[in-house]
Amino acid sequence: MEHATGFVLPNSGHNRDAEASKMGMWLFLFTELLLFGGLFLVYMVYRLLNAADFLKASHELNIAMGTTNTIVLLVSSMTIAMSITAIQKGNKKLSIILLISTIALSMVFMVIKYFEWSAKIHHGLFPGLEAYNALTPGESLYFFLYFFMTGLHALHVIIGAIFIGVVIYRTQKNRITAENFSLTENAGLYWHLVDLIWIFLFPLLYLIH
Amino acid sequence: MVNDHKQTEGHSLHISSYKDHLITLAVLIFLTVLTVAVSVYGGGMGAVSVVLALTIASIKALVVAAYFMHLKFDHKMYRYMVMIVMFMFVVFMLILSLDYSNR
Repeated sequence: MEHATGFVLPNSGHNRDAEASKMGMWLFLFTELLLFGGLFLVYMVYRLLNAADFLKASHELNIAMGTTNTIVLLVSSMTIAMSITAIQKGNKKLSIILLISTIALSMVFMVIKYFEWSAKIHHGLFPGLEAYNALTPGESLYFFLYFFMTGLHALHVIIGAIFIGVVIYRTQKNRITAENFSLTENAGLYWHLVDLIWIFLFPLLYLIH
Repeated sequence: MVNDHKQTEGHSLHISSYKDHLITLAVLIFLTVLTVAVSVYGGGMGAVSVVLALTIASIKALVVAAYFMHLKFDHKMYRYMVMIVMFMFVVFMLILSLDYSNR
């Protein structure tokens, strides 16, 4: 039996691999595509089968709120992309400020979403409520998909905001630096995915008339 | 626009400038306003408006992927991976819609 001493990994303490880390993040993003892609396919099929009902139901949605939220998410995508630029240039303070702005914008998004959902629930359009039960099958499918897809998306917004919170903490503690910013990049990739999903949800749910 | 290029361990570095990000955002907001305007004022176009909305959304997605997600400047491997996955998704979508429209 050999003793477990005397052997040291050639690069021990020095085994970060930014490319592998980024590739892992991309592979994870592809699994997210399976999740949302499946829902987009469900939407497509039911839309093909219930075109008139989907059209009618979509008029219940508030385009002004949807547009505002789209722009809020786009701006937040820019702030996190800029925070990567900042940390790459060694500007820790600016990077943190931009990350905090991203979280603030995610909260704006969630507040607007809250008002949209409350209005629909107030009108009884949440699955199970009276107005929902009185809808035609096509319309109820539309609202079911509306709540499911925007709800799942909102969950991703919350997870993304927590992820960014972790990045802020680590940047503050100097564990993310100008030489080691993979985590900031990966949080950025995740946040952009959240934005990408919304880029397709917005026209499909709000703008189909 | 001048971009810094430097090599640190594992990061092949292209640093996007703040200005580049601002321009990207301006393009994305312009496309958003355009798609809303087409939908609100272009009523009665039927199927054309759906195709137009999805085309604009796809252009926006490409811009986000290329500039914000840095695909344009990263190793080409990422670009190929995304292209393969999107290709498979589009094929899946086409086959599924063929199936349902011929029942």
